[in-house]
Amino acid sequence: MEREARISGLLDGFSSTPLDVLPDKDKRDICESILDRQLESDEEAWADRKDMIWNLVGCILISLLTLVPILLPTFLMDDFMLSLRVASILSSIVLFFVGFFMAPHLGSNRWITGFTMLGMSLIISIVATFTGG
Amino acid sequence: MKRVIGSLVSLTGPGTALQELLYGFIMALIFVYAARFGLLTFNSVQEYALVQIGMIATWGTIDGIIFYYIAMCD
Repeated sequence: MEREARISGLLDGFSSTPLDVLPDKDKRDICESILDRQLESDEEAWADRKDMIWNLVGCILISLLTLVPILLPTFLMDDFMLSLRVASILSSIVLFFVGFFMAPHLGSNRWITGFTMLGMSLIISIVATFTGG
Repeated sequence: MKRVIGSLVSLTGPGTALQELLYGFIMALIFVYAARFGLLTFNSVQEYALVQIGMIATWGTIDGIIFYYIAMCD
């Protein structure tokens, strides 16, 4: 790719960022200095891509993990309606503890995060049920 | 168990893991409440399980692919 096209691409990428406050010449100088630096090697780029693929796999696995408290009561209990009630209670408990234990990673209060997760998911899912999901 | 969950969270990072869990539970609970309130009926437990697994797997995959392409664009 021509250097001019690369600069143009970088300038597009920097639009709607704090760089917008700089004059055009300064923005161009920044793009020029970026292009003059050593770019990441093919191995580093492949390592980044591998991380992204693992991120994709992680998203699918974590989503599937949510099915455990939802489906387990259904398979263990004979009464389907009762199992649904147990599933919703179990999910609420799990959601509370997910918020409770994730709070330190997010820098927030354990109890507030737990109850926020619980309340938010219950309200959204009940509203979405009646409004068509 | 704690190590398994820790390594799962490390794949995506805590923020994305939390987001996926929240989305997953909300989507699954929509079907639970729809069945409880009689808006949806299922002929068997297997049919109900298939609907839940299909929906969660679909949305988990969509989220994963979107995050992958966003990261590629960056």
